[in-house]
Amino acid sequence: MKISRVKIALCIVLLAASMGGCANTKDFKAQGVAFDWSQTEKKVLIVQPDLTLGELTAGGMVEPRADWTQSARTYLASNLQSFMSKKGVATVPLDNLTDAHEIQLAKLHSAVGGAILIHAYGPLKLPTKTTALDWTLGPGTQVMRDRYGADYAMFLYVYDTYTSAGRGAVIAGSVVLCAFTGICPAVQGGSQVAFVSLVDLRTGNIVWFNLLSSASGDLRDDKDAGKFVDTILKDMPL
Amino acid sequence: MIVRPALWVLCAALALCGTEQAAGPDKPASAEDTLPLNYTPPPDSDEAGLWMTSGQLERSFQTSPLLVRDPALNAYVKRVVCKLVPERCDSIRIYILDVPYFNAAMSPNGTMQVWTGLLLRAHNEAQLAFILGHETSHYLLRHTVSLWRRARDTSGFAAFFTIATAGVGALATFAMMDSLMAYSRDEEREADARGLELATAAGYEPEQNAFLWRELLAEEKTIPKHEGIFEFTNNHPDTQERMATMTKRAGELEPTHNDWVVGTDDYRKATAAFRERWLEEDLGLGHYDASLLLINNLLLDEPNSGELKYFQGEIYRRRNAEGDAQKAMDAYHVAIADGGAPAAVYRGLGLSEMKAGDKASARQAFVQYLAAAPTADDRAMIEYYLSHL
Repeated sequence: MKISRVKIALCIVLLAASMGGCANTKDFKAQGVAFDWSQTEKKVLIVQPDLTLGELTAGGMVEPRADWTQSARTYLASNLQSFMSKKGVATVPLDNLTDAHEIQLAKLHSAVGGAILIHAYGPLKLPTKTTALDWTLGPGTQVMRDRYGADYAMFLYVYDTYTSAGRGAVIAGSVVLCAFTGICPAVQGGSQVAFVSLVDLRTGNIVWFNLLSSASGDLRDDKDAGKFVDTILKDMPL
Repeated sequence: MIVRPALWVLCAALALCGTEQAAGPDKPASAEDTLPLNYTPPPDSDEAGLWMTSGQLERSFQTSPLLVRDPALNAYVKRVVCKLVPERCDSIRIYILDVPYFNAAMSPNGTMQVWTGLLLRAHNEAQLAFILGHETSHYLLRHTVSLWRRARDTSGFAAFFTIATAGVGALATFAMMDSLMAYSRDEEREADARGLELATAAGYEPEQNAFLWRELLAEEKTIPKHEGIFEFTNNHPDTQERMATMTKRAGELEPTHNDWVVGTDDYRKATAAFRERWLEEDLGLGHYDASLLLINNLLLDEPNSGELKYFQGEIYRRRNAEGDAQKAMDAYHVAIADGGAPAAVYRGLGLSEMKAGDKASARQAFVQYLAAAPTADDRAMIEYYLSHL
């Protein structure tokens, strides 16, 4: 159960490293995507983000932080809501997933998102999947549409780590070592990686996907959380 | 599966896999080390972070296809935990998971996993109680938190050391890992001491603790090390010492009461409906020597169980070593005579007879199988055999 989570985190870290420095995003759209709303009021279901904030300790272990994760959850929710409302889209928050089917869909999104990272962003290109986004969660998502009256749902995965004082000292040490001896151990600091999907609940198809990686940004802060939302949703074709 | 916690960072973060067992005369942890009742960690603490991660794991159990939801079995296991720690009865949440290895594990937030491979191997309620007592002790003594802090602080030191010595530190890192393990062995000892206290205070017979562990170690020996199913091997230097201590401790406690509870009947009643499935899953692992030891251990308690005899026959038939074909047939015949064997006993017999070339006996056995299990999944296959016999 945990393995896939670890795999996703690992994959993201590798991708983030390959994408380099500051806040980077790279998005994919499904071919010929055109939003189709069944009601005059446009509604998007915001599925509770798969979110973990932690502190990167001196030894490189990530210590999960409940308080940071909770604040980030609150800030993300309000910023997502206001971003969408500026676009003229109403949001339906789906917090505290308890329904087994909905939980499975959220897990499925994390798994499919992981596959997109590997095959669309990573080096393992699939011959059957070319440049346009061609991934789906399957028609099992219709249940969500019927239940919440939204045509689309947004799924978000965030893994965010912050450098502890101890880790900072190790990084500083490695820089000094590198300067004097030419031996340069790769010591990574905290980083922010996230991916987001917009899913058509009628078909389960992922119509838009974006990956963000950043060495800065602080979701524990309301304003920074707002910047995060602006950055990751910037190219959303809504 | 016996997982050594310090080797598994994941394990350290999520749960103490406490089946690594030892009984030591170590000082029992003092009362102030014990988790306060109705405790919630301060939100900005590392402990709260571990609880959050445990909560994620717990939610994944709730929707897992491996979760055994049978209310009666769940109530039974819960009742045993409640006998050990009545005041924690509501704070410990039990998840029985259908995994055919021997393991139980406790997360810091009170989530307890019990694997069906464990339920299959315990002979009675007392044996179950000792394992649950050990797990509960990890929770009461907040071992995950201390283990986490040590791993964090030690690995921090290791990273500094590697930088400082420009790569020469690799060996030192190994040494560090070893010291981590040593500490975690202390925690295991502590959990054993407290677990033994809890279970004997609830009246369970101390000898049962050592008994189960002797069987497990014997079973573990039959499984090739490279398969990594039993991390905890007999070659481990202090395992034998711990076993000895455990046996000694049981011997000391045994005479202090004469009305110890073993709970064989209750245990069998609670698990009877599931045993066939669990044995089938154990067989599916393909560790026939280990399965044979397990079956023979269970047969010691129930020499006339047709169900167990059937599985003994299945192990022989599938292992297919020299002389196994005859042993399988003998076991099937005893199983049929003793009664209580599943219908598949006739299928096993039919396959064995077919292989031995006795077409008439094979035909007879297959016909009996289809009569006893008319809706069997493999009916078409058996009919195909019949058409060629």
